[in-house]
Amino acid sequence: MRLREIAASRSGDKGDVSNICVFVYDEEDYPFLVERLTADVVRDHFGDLVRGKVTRYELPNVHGLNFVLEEALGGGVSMTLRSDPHGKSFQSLVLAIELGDRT
Amino acid sequence: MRTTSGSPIADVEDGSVVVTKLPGTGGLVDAMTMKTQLYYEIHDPTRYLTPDVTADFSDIRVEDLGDDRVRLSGARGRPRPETLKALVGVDQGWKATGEMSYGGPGCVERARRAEEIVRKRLEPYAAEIDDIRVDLQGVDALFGDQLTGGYPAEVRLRLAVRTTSRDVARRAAHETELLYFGPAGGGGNVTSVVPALGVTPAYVPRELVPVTTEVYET
Repeated sequence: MRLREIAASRSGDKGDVSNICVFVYDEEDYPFLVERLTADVVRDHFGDLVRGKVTRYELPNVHGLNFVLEEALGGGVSMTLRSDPHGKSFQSLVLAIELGDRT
Repeated sequence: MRTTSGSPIADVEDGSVVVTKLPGTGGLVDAMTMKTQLYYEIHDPTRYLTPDVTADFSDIRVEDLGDDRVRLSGARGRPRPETLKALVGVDQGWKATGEMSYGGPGCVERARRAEEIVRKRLEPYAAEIDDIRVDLQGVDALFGDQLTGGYPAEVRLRLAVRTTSRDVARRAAHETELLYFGPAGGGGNVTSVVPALGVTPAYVPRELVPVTTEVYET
């Protein structure tokens, strides 16, 4: 299943760093999210869009994960030539991630 | 469908805050809108730097009280950073963009040919061009090769150039207008040339920034 079936997300920018937070709609899906949506999965999904490291922070109280992607915005809002300088579309790209079936 | 939303109101108590909006206004205040708004600009949730405090948002409790009211509690703080963050603007010259749309059968190939032409025509100015980028909106502008779909009905070529020369910036934008002469069927050219202002953070010792408060009463 795709991440967007079980979660909402939002992305922000700070310099050349993109941050994407993800929250499941149903708290019972949180363990599945933690197991499947790893920093490596996000890094692979973003490929060359992100030049630096990807760090995952767990937010169990609010059933969410926070991903920090370094060197992800072509130098940052004021330097980049990208169509989406803030990386607002990254919150949609992450929701396209295929998590696989529940076992 | 409502297209306006009420502005958020924060009712602050000691150790907690209730976020709400005026009844009858559009928009939604619920746990999910609060969570996505709170965390979308945070990096490490245990140390979110602000001028007044190093905030710890790792253990927050979010209670949906219904009727567009949400209580947040459990935020903690550690001593504020020793420096203040300043954003410094740096003159990077000019940013030029130019766009042209192609539609129908073969539109992707025609847009790619247009890209080839524009890049070649800008080669003589390469020494003055600090950065150049061409995207096909509808194909790869947002996600590069990371997400692909089927063949689009239409596509929009977008050229972006950064240069310290205003003349080169204007020329680059103008090159997309010249695409009206070919490849076939290009339409809807739009161009823009604006100053390129780089922004970089600097960290300033607090003692260099005097802060005063004045209260006026009428």
